[in-house]
Amino acid sequence: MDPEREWVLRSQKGDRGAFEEIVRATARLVWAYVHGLVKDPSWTEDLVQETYLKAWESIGTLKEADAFRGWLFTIARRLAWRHDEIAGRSTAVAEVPEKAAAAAESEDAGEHIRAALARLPERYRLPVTLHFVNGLEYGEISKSLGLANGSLRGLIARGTKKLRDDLAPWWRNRNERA
Amino acid sequence: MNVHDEIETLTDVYLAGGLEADDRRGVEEHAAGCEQCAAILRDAREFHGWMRGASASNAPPANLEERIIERLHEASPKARRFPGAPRIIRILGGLAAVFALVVLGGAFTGSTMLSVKHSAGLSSAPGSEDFGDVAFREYARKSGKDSGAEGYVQNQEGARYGGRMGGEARKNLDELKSRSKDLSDSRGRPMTGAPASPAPMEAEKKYAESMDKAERGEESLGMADAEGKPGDPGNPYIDDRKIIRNADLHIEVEKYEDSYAKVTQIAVAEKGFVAGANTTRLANGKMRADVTLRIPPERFESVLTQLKALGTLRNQAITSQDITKQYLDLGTRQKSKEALVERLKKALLEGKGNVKEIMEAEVALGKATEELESIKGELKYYDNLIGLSTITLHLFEKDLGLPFEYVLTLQSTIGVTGSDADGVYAKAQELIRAAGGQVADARMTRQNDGSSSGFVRGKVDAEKFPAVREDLKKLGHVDQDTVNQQQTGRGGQGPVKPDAPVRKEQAIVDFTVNTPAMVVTRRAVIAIEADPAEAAYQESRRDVESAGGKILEGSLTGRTEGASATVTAQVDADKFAALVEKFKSRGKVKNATVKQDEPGGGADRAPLIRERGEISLAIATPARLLTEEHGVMKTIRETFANSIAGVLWSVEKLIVGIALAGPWILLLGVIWVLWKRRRRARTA
Repeated sequence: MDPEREWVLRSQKGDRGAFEEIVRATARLVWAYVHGLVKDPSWTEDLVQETYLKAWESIGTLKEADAFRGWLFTIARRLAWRHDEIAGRSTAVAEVPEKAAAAAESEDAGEHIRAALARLPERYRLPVTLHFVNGLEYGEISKSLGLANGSLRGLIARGTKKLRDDLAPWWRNRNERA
Repeated sequence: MNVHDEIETLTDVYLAGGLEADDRRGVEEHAAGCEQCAAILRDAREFHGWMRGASASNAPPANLEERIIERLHEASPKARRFPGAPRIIRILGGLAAVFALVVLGGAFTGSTMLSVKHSAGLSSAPGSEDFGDVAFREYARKSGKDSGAEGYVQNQEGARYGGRMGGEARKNLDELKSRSKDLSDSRGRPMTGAPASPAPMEAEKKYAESMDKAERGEESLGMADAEGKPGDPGNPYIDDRKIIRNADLHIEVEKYEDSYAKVTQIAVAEKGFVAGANTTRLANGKMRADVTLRIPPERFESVLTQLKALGTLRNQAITSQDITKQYLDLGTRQKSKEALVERLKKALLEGKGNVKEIMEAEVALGKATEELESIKGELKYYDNLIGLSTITLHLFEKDLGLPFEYVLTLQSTIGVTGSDADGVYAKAQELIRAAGGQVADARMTRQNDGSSSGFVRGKVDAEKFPAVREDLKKLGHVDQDTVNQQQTGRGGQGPVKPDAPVRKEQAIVDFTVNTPAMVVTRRAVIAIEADPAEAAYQESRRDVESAGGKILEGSLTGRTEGASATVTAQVDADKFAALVEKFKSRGKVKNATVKQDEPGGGADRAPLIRERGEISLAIATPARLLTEEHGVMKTIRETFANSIAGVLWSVEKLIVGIALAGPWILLLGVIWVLWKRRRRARTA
């Protein structure tokens, strides 16, 4: 985390290169976080971009450089919630019933998996998403989450098990459907 | 917790690559001997594979970070203005700057700009625009995102490549580094426990190596170098950047054929070639051509100079496109795909796994190979573009813009006056058609006063025009006859050569025929007596109609005795006299006057004016009982009649008197009788 602290401090002084490094180090993490949070995943990238725009605008107000990640996630979470709220408001009347029906009938495995991921408790969601969806290596997950090997191991094991239990009926039937 | 349970717990971590070497070996060894655990492992492996495959569509885009950074760029092209300062201070700073501007601007006008700027700079010290600029430049220099062909980044190219690699290339090396790690044997995935694992160190080393290579000027990415030797100081386009150079020249030349031959010579001499030529011969015999040349980039400038010597340069545009990033991306993608193809091939050769897995591997192999080919094709395309610059040459011969012929246009207007507008109108059209011309427009209008006019626009061949013109003039009395002849140069601007050919265009004839309003030149006032008047009235109306005249007014008053009638009618001059006679024959003529007005205008117009006559007829019923009498008899009769009238008058007055006095006499009589009876009774 040390270089990240350095980047944050430099970003606060207006060093864009440093902020760019932060983006490189954390973008996929934020992406996975937002992906599991937002209702319509097609908005994920926009929201991630929005998160960084906002972060860059207001990084000066961040007091503790060490708290950067939590702060970044908070921005992302707020944006995602606000987006859902606005989107929900605008689509509540017309689209939702259709959409729900479509999702129920959908044979799209990706959508099923996303739904299952969204149902996971939050602490499992991120590492599991990073592994399966983002396709990160174990080492990369550990690095980007800043977790020691042991804790990540537990999270992956339990998270994957929950996910598998959740998806098992659907997964087992996949061949019959196909 | 027995071994099986433990294995089950570890399976997912094992598959996610989270086990250390010892544990991993433990799981593998146990599964090899334990059917139950092997099944669990197979099942889990299948699940992991399926999960990763099915989630692929949800995966973030490969260039997620780049896109975020790009978005940051777009949102605020300069660095943040007041970084680090809390909002209130930023606001205060802004206010201070505004205040300083106002105060200084008010105090001194003219030469205060410098000090204003200075004070503004002071009040917003660390986040001032200057600082932001520096930061941005630093940022831009580092990221190397800006295309090498624009802005100051290009100016700094020399310095940038003097000692180290550009940010762009470095970034791509970073990517390559991470990919190469990706591509390391799947079974030999780095099983790292801590962030500071050997893998990053290894990558670091690789990175350092490639940096060294880049510095030495070697092609670190194994791509064909199409641009000649690196580091050649004589050519600014040669480094590890991939730049497509194009030029677009418009040159005016004396003669196309000669120039084209020269262009070919230049292209061949400079190791290029003519890729295509598109020649057009224009109507004036001049040539214009678009020639495409492909030239090695290092000869680009020299070829341009030579081409410009061909003639007069009218316009030129030189563009360059930096595709370094796309190119390097393609390179890395190619490498990774190659590795993937290799791995899949190996896996298929080993033949491990069930039928389904093998099938899947084959499908994946097919897809990967296809993608690899497409990448190779794209690289080839870029190589071609980079390898040879494209020069598009637009050659056109001199005087292209000068007129090459005269055009003779005839515009004629003929106007005639005739009494029969409709006939002339139809005849004019006939004439034009008969001469092989065409009627472009024809209209006829009629007015209430009886006038009408026809318009015909015709187009006839210039040769036939004089004949048509003469024929048209015969159709009536010619009022107007003008011919406009105009000769203009065609094909461009500027003076026309005196010997230029003359081309006659179709003559345009505007023909107009007018019929004037009718004029009344003769008038007759007739009074007749007819009995019965009504019959004469009806007869005279019929007379007007049969003469083709028009009844302007007609009235009949009193149906029986003493009836009178009037008729006012207009008729063509030639029928006027006949109608007057007819009217006269309808009764006893009491009065008749006929007069003829002198028509207006000169004598030459007289026959054209359509004359009319107007007749007013008054019909009266003759006196019936007595005809007119004179003399003594009349006096006697009148006297006699007067005396009778006097007698009758007296009788009338008498009766009135009796009627008036009667009641009184009767009353007096009654009183007298009564008085007499009283006297008699008194005496008796």
